Amino acid sequence: MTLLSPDVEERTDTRADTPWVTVVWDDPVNLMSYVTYVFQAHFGFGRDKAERLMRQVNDDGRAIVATGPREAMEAHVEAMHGYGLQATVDRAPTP
Amino acid sequence: MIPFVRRPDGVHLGLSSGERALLTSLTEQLRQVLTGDLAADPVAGRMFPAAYPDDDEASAEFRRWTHDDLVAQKTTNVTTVHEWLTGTREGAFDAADEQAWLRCLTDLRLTIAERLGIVDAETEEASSDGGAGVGLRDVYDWLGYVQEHLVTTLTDPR
Repeated sequence: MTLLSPDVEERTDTRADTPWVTVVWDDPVNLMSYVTYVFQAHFGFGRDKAERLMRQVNDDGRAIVATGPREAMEAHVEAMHGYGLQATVDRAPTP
Repeated sequence: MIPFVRRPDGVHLGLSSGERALLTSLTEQLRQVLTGDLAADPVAGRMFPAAYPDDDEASAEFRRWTHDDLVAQKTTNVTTVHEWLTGTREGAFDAADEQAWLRCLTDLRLTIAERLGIVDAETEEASSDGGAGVGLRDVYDWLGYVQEHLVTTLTDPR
């Protein structure tokens, strides 16, 4: 319970272990082969993991591709936009 | 023609002169989009989507930090591709050329998809049902083939 508004809490929360996620969304434009390539090239995933995440994006409409501090997630999202993928930053889902 | 050819020194352009002319025109148009009034162009929503869909303020701050850099990157990519198409650059792609091509082809497809109204599988299907957009739809599909070929050429074991 906090007296701060959620927005203020977000902005003042700079702990390095605050869980945030990078979400990549399905879009009708990007090719499956290209999305797999981007996951390998940017995140350094092996081909199997990159393909699994690509399929999750395709089948479920979205996939979490990274978890970590907010600044790092924003850097990933900026990179994804540079590649032309639809990506967003979100709070990590509560377990 | 086969869009790209791998040789011992790297990937070379294999497009025909007609294909190069088409792509040259498309890259010039994309450069106009990128250097024009992006705020008024709905394609901006595809190239620079909101980073926080449920938080306008956080999205605006993210945009303040990233937008100019992303526009500059995308403009550099399209300029590089244009230089390859017009013969200013020739020989084998280096790593930066490969990235410029991959990303520029993506931005071209994002832009054409926006003009065709492709937002999901249904609208993608509808855009191939003829009508005024049929020529552009053919270009869109061809660009998809060109990009698929580039990804394959770059990632297949040599």
